[in-house]
Amino acid sequence: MLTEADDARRAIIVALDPVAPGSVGLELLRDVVIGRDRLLLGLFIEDTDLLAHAQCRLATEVVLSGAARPLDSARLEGQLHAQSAAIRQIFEREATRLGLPHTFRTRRGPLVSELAGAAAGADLLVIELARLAAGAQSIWVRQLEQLCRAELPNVLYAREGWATGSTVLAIIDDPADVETSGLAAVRLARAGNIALTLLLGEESQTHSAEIEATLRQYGLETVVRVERLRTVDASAPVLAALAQAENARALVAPRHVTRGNAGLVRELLRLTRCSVMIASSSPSN
Amino acid sequence: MPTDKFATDRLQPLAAESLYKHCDPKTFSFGTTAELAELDIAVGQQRALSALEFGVRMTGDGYNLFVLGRDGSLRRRIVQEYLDSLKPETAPSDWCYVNNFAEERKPVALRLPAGKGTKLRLDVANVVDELLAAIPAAFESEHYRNQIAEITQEYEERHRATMDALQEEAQQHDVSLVPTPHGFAIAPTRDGKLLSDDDFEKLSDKEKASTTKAMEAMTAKLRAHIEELPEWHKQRRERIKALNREVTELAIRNPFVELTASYTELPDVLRFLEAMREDVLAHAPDFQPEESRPTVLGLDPARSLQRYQVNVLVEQPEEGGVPIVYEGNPTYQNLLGRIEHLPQLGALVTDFSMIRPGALHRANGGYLILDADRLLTEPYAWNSLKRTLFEKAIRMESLGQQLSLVTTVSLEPDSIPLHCKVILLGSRFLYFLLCELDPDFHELFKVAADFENRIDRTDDNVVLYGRLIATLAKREALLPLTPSAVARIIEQSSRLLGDAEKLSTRLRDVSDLIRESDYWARRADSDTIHADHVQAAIDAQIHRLDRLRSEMHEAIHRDDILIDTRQTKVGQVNGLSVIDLGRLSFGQPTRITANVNIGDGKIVDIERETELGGPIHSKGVLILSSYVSSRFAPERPLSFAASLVFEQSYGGVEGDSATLAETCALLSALANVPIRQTLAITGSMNQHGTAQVIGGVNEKIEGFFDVCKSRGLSGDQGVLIPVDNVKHLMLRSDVVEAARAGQFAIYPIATVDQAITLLTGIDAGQRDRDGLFPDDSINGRVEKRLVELAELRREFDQSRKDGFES
Repeated sequence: MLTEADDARRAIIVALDPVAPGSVGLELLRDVVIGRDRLLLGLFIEDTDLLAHAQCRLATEVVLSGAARPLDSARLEGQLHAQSAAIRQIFEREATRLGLPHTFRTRRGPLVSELAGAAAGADLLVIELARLAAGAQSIWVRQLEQLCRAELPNVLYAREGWATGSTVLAIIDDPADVETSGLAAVRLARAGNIALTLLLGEESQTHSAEIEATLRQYGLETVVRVERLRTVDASAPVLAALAQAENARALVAPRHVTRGNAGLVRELLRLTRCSVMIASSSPSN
Repeated sequence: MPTDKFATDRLQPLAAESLYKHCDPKTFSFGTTAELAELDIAVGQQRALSALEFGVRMTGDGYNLFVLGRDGSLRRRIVQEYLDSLKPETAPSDWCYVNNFAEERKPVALRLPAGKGTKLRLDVANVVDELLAAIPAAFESEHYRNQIAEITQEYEERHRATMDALQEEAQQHDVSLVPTPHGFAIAPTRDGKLLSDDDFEKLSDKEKASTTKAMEAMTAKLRAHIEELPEWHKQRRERIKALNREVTELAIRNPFVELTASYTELPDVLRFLEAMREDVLAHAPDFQPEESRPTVLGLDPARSLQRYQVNVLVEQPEEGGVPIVYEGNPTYQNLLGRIEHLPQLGALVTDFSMIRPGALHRANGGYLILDADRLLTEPYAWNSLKRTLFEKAIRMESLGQQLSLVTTVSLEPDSIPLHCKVILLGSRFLYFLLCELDPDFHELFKVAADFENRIDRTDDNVVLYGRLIATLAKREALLPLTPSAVARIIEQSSRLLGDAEKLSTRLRDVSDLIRESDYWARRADSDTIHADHVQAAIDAQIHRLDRLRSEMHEAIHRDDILIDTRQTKVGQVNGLSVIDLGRLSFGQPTRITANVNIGDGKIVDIERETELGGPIHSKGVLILSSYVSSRFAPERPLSFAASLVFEQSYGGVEGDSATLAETCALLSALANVPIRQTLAITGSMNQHGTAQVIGGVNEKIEGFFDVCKSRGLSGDQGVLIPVDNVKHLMLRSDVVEAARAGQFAIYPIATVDQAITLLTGIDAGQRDRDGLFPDDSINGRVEKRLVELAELRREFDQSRKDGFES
């Protein structure tokens, strides 16, 4: 195991599910991490916003059995500690099994800012949604929409069933996206040994040949399909329909697509079963 | 008075020709037995064969057979050959056990036409193999995954939409809704920030009430939503289950359609296949690859698919034929089958695939041959067989369960209807014992096939017997026999039976002799078996077994056992006995003595007094006593006391063949006339003094001959035998030759008078017109002595009486 003193800039952050322990993030990290010599950092955040709720006398917890009870601060703390320990155990076991260099941290603070802070300068932030119940997922993703405003590395919202799906969809809205979402998508496709489908925006369509050539330079042997779509069409329902039609494993979008549409990720996650990656604005190494 | 068949003065020894009945090789017209066609080995068994035919063809209840006869009669082979020769009237069936999917403890029995059982097993196994590929493929298809995803997504979407709506509503009412590790937290907010307790206290009562009301409303709505989640999950599971069934049904449709098409004529099989199809639909996950199947530690996951196996219990040849089964070890389990168990997680488990057939299963539709004595000595076997025959169904029950020896789960397989004739092979003794003691026996074994021990040695039968010998030799690929060898075997057959006019049907002995003759012939590099080889085999058989005989003869030779063969003695006679060693019997002379004193007419049988004499021997002594009392001094009470004993006999004495000898010893003692020890005598006797036939006559004569010969034949030695035993004589060639040379004599006697005359050289004597025996005759002397003893006794009694009175 590596220590916290190791170079976090080279880390791939896994924001492990704060609600239920899971290991789907690691499953896909095997594809994206192996061969890249990156430190894998498992991050569990004890959300102070949640803890603040427990300070409120009127706060109530409705548990999954349907019972309602006062939200007790001490009990919540205990639950979070237990959850952190359980997640750590799973993370370390799985990372060791996969032979990935790794470390694990538990941080306390506001969820979004802690995530943003930890991910700054990292290669990839994986947000594991695998085991989240749809209701909790919805709330959580809504909270994470603020991340879209931050300058973050590639952010992957990982869904259950990563290994299924036969293609990676990449939105190339602008020729410059080749270096961001294009490259990130190539890496995912190559790691999973699956095809890549390019969704070209209006501005990219005239450069499709160059885009394909560039991607081939990155090592992608086969681009099975090039879809043409206008930027105005890149709405969640259209993308979701494409993802379903293509049996997509992941949909990779450039960050600027989400800037004007913070709810896009939430909508995509609602409408599709595939994972969603928001590519960093700056080219990744 | 006894009938005097021969006048005493006409008593002559038998001619040598009477001592052995030769079989003339010229009777046979073949060069060697290789030229002869095979013959049914059931020679002379017409009675048994007709009973067998009747029992086999009779269709009513209880017409099973008991084949009775002596060991070695090759009954089993004859029965088997007879059954083999039958043309099957009904085709036997295959029987299988398959899983009862509704109640696994009660496996289902399936009846199929011959040869179809294995086909069904293979067909079902192939379908299972096919399903192992088809079902996972169906569940891995995009179509299936999409449908599952659609169902899941639909419910997730409903949940998500509800939560989104709740969150929207919460925001509108200044309530925060966030997930916790175990559910959701709700707290009041103002302007998007949590409302602290202090800030809450600062609110007006109306605002407080409003906030509290909003919190309570949200809590209620959230609870209502969470409480309906289990129902949603249930609906989702049921839809997935229905989808799984639909997908499985699609995957298995073709394999099952093809499978059932082959069995449309067999409704039971179709029912099983339908039940199997339903079970596959309900247990599709069992067909997933092993690694993805849920397993329990220690349990073999492959076993879950074993429930689709077909356990072919009995498989009959497709080309037909009646099953004829011989079960040499008729234990309960070997008869009715067994249910095996397998240790699993420390317990013994079983299922239909571990049902094993018994002989009754294998013989169903045909015949089951069993040895009765073995059957009766196996615990629970006889009663179970009877129960099965009464029920006409094979009902398998674990013996351990029956006896409460095991408490593990066992099976109650379907009974299998029984259509089988059971044929028991046993001795006559056993047959009559069962008739007497088991009331069920007559109900179940109504036909007795009684095998003859012997057949007449007629010319026709001799020829037939020759062919029988040829058949036995051919079937075992033995060397062919010459006519002289066949003749010698026929002679030995008579000798084994102890009857010159009969032939033995104890074919095992005949087979053994042919086999051993073959050995000696091959050893002599002969390509045929000659009479010499047969004789060598007979001599070797005797030599292998006669150690005891040699020792006893040596004891006589060394006078350890006192047998006089030269002098004369009063009250002493050479009797003859037979010692049976199983495969060899031999004769042995025994000194019998009698002592006489005054007494009350009682004859003491020392053998009986010492409990060494059997009841038949005692009966003989009582007959002797009756003879003496009725023959002599009929008007006076017998006034003597006599004792009879077999000298130097330390084992039991049984049989009445010494009665004549004992009578002669007693008469000699009463008459005080010595008996010639050069002679020996054997024979039974009735109350009138008539000699009666005895067994083992050949061995007895040879036994005395051997003793005499070892001491040197004097020319006046011989044996007295009942005249009715002459027809049994098949004496050894050296005895015959000695008789021919006048060195040894065999006297046939009809009465005790003839015997005592020969033994003493003095006429026995007949009563004259006055009813008196001649004074110098044996009988006259005996009567005179008895009168004297009576007088002495009268005087003795009178003196005792006088003594008392004085």
